[in-house]
Amino acid sequence: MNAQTPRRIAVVGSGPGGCFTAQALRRHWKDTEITIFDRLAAPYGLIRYGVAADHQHTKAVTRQFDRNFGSDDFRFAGNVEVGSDISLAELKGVFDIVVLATGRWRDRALTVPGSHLDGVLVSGDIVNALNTVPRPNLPMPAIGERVVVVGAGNVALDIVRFLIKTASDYVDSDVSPEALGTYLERPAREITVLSRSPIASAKADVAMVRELGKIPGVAFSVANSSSAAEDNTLGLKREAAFADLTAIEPDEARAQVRFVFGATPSRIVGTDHVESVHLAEAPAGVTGSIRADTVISAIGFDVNAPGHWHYAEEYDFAPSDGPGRLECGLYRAGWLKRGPVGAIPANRADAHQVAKEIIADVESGRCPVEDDPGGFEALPESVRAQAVSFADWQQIDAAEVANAEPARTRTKFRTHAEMLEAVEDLRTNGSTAPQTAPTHSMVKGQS
Amino acid sequence: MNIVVLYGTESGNSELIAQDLSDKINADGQSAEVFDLQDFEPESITPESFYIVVCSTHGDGELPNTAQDFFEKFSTFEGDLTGVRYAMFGLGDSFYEETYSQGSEHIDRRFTELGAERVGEYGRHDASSWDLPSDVALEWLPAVVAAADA
Ligand SMILES: Cc1cc2nc3c(=O)[nH]c(=O)nc-3n(C[C@H](O)[C@H](O)[C@H](O)COP(=O)(O)OP(=O)(O)OC[C@H]3O[C@@H](n4cnc5c(N)ncnc54)[C@H](O)[C@@H]3O)c2cc1C
Ligand SMILES: Cc1cc2nc3c(=O)[nH]c(=O)nc-3n(C[C@H](O)[C@H](O)[C@H](O)COP(=O)(O)O)c2cc1C
Repeated sequence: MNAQTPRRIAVVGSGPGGCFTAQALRRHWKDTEITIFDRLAAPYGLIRYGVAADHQHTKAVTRQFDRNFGSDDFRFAGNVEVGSDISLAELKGVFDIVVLATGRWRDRALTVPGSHLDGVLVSGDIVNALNTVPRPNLPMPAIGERVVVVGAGNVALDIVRFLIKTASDYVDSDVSPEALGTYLERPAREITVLSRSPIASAKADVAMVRELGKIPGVAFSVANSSSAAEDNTLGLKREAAFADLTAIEPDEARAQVRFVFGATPSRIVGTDHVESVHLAEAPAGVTGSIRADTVISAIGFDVNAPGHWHYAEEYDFAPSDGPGRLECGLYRAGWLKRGPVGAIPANRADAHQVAKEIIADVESGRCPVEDDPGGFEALPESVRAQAVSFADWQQIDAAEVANAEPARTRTKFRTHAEMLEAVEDLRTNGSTAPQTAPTHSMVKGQS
Repeated sequence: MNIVVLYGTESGNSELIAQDLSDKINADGQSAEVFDLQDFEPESITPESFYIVVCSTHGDGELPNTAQDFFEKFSTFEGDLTGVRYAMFGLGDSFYEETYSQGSEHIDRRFTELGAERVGEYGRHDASSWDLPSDVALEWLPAVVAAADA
């Protein structure tokens, strides 16, 4: 090893942004120690905690990373939060290079009058409950029978799908049984989806639209404000997909979904609780007021959610397609770099860019690396002791799988504390069989 | 015979398969090299090598991003590929019913148009099947290598 090869690299965040970056760095530097930290005990970020439960196939990409961790390409250090368990300065002190890939995802909230009323929800609360996000674990919010969804991007369509699917649609998924059960006790019957843009420029993928049409027992209607230009191939495809939805004629409709494009809410009306949504704009033939007991917004993410990067307040995290370098030795990747846009694969292309940049910075001498700073082993004993390793995670994983409800791939531990207990148990008993696989009515810890 | 394994990917699965196929071929005593399609030119295709193309599907039945530039060049490439033999392994997800595994087929069609000959079965991996991509590909490989040597 020479001065042009870093000895120790830390990646903060084990979502696709962090894992793809680590993969790319490993390909170039075969002997460098790479440690991936995460505040959670489970790796993979939004692949585990954001992607919809009825899209299990999307999560298959993690098998690449499983393999990297399994063959010691990189080390997992879960349950270590940068900013509280360890500071960024400490990390920089013992690693040659630190890559921040902590993502960013906080819903943008509606700001129209009435947004504070009970019954106004953000999509994230539902997504978190269905995915059993552990820190903190929050229950499924109450959803009524008349729902207005604001937004028509992929996350909005995830929500619509959830609203109209039945229990049997979650076979072989890892959905939270309680969250799903709560909703399905009294599912929505009337759903209105409001999109500011016309279909032509709405954000939803065509495949996502088509997918709605495969759910039986649902009637769809669509009102559009303006049509796609003739050379807008994608817009025309999306229009065709929505037109196909309206052609479906179920014998008996469990639910009615009405898409209104070119519509924006101006006001949510109610005394304490939502009663109706008033529209500022709407295409011809759509009334200006919609009766509703629940409003769910999915209008994108708040890029500047306060407190998100409390661990590194002195840096500028404005979204950028430019370099990932924050300073020599400190880089960012994934959603923390580009902003909360783009699917999982987009993080790979971005990660390759950032890895290239890091390699060039070091090898050109622009950002030289010094003597071995010590890496993971040089961290305080307390931090190393609390770190959840990949083998620990596999134990948690096995317990979740063993604990799966019938027709489920797994039942996730509900709280961070439960996950840590499972690890603790293994460490004290030295057994490889899951010890605490608790049923979901058991442990009540909160982290 | 020299085997050239080419891959087009967007989330990395095809790359992993390509690498595993090449490792296996080399371990079995033949020689293989791997290229990302984005670093490969149609001009370098010759009858002296055997080609294995591993390529996924993205968008709405389209090629993944590391294959797109190559395909553009390949589409206007006018060389004669008579005598060139190749095999295809496509990745997709049957969840996308209408466009399942079509990404690789764009490349396959162009090879054929230019006079190349596909040998062996058209391999496929379906992300909805939950089979490990490399397992499926490694199972597919021996018959293809045998056909290539024939
Ligand atoms: C609701 C939703 C649904 C989605 N569905 C899909 C889909 O179906 N298909 C698709 O391709 N893409 C989907 N995406 C997009 C995809 O999830 C993102 O592109 C991707 O996850 C971004 O990767 P990332 O690594 O930058 O961030 P993340 O995946 O958010 O990973 C960040 C990681 O950093 C950790 N972290 C944060 N702060 C700290 C800290 N201080 N210390 C240590 N660790 C920390 C977090 O715990 C997390 O594990 C979806 C996104 C959302 C929000
Ligand atoms: C946004 C997106 C779109 C996709 N579109 C298709 C498609 O149209 N048809 C298909 O068969 N598979 C599709 N897939 C599935 C991929 O082909 C599959 O996940 C494959 O394993 C990816 O391989 P890669 O990692 O080499 O890119 C899509 C995947 C994503 C994430």
